[in-house]
Amino acid sequence: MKIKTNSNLTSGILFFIVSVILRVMLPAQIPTLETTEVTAATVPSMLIHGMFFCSILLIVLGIRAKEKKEYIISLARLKEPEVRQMLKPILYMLMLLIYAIILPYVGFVIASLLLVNGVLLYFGARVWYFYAIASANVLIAFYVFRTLLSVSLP
Amino acid sequence: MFANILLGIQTLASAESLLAILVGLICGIIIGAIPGLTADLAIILCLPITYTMDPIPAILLCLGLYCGGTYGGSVTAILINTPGTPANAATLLDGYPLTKQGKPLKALTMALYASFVGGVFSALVLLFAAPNIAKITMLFGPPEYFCIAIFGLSIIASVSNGNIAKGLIGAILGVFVSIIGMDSISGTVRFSFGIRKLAGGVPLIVTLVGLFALAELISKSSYNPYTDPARKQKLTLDREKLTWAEIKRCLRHMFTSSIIGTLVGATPGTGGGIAAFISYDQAKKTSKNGDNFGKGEIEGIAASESANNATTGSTMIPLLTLGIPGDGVTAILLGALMLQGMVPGPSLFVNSPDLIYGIMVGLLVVNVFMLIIGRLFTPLYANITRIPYELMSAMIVVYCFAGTYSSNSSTFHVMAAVIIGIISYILRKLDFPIVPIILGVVLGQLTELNFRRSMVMSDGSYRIFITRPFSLIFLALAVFSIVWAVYRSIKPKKTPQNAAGGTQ
Repeated sequence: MKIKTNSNLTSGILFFIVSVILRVMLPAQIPTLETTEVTAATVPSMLIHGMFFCSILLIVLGIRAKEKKEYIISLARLKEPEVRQMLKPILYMLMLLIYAIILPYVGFVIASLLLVNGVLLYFGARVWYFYAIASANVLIAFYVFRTLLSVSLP
Repeated sequence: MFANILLGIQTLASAESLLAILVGLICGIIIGAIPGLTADLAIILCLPITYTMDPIPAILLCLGLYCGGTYGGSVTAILINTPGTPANAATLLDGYPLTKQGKPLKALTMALYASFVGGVFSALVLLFAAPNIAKITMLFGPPEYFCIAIFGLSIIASVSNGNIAKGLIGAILGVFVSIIGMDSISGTVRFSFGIRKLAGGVPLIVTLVGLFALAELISKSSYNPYTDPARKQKLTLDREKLTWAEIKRCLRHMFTSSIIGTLVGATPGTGGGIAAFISYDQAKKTSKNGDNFGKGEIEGIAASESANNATTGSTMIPLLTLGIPGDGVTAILLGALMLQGMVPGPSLFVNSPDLIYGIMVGLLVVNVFMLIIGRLFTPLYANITRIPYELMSAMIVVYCFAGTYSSNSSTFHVMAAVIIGIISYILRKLDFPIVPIILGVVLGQLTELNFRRSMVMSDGSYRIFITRPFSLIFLALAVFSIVWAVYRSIKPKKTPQNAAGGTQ
């Protein structure tokens, strides 16, 4: 499948959808009982309408722009090195998400040791003392926060 | 007054006081440099230590933490594109590009000098003008605060990189994040999506860590150390120092920004972040090198750092003269003063002039010490860029998460920071400027709260914003700011062809 787009058009469509979703959710998400003219929902409503109009503007700017990039969406492209390089950040994001999920269960030290060593492996670090320094840094951070700053890390 | 100043100097002249300043500054700079930790947290954590100290050294320790923390945040803003504190968010706009050009030493030195100028200016204003300034700001009500916030938001027009629609959407997103949680007027919980932890809102530090630190780490995750040509060559850092010509060029901005920072800081409910952005914007508009802002312009660093440090003295004005804390840090300082048996207010000036003037003169000394310590440590900071990126990334991420967790002792906020970081990364890929988002986050609550209070005061009439003189002034400044930004963006740029056509 081929798509021709630019960042204005893509952003415009994205925030058009976001603004519509937020507008639909607004009454349920702000169940205010105020009867005054200006309520807890006034400013959020103004913001959502502002986002809606700005997204329309972006769509118009995107359609009118001469510069558009063509993207070919196909599973076969996953084998291309360029595409794999572009998708690498997704793996990094997954590492951060997994860290945030396991943190309350395994604690700061274990979760952070897994994360820092995972980050170094991700970048393909081959020097052993990088792993040692990063791991020692986790323990130092734990000591500094827990003992010196009296912050009780999980 | 001069007799009181001499009394203050005498009160200050003790080894304990000077040691308190030194320890406070060093700890403040280190803590301020860690993304996720702020001067507020540093002061809170050191409060128990101050119980056993005499009043003046105790307060000077807190002031050292405050000033050091505000300056320290510029180190990470410049070196790794992550502000250590919200007040340093504007510094990275030109600080980090200078680091990428191999000139971190220049950027760090300018940040130090600008912080010193702003801090000293503000301390002198505190010393000589405190009571008079407090009288003016006491006249400010919700309409004035709303208009100040609008003036701050008007900066979006000049930091949107030419795409105002994206800038506005960014600001809207930022304001949205700031209003998540319980509404302070009606008590209604907004956009919590049924998640109990969101009822308390999203702490500012969580947003900052996600927007800057984590988004930056994700952006750089496609870095390959084995194909980076810079890794194959020996990295040489530009040891080029600031020239006198560069300092001279920035002097005007330092003084203007110090004035702006002092006025903003004296207004309760604002802060270093707002002062820094307003000053940055003004410097960009008035500089001959305005087009170079955002690409490593030294004047940008001078403007933002002078302004944020200029708030350190002036936030003490409503605190010391009226007993009203102007922001989170001064609220904690109020607690520190009361712990020492000092009740801030007009009576303190009459009953204990030695203590109050000791504190005010002490703030001047803190800034001088900050310059000395900063000069010693700056070359050390610059070498941080020599650390291989993959190791730096692994080390930074730990402190980001530890700092984020420490803000509310909540693992939920760690997840929130990651999600904000992912969204920020996606926005960067779509060419959204990040500055409007942070402007929205910092100013959102102030804007909405004061808008609603103003509407209550005026029974729903918008005329209240133009019938009050200070509101009108700030609104006019906001309109001028937007018009000027639009004019500069559509003004045809002078090219050799244009210039030649004009002369024929």
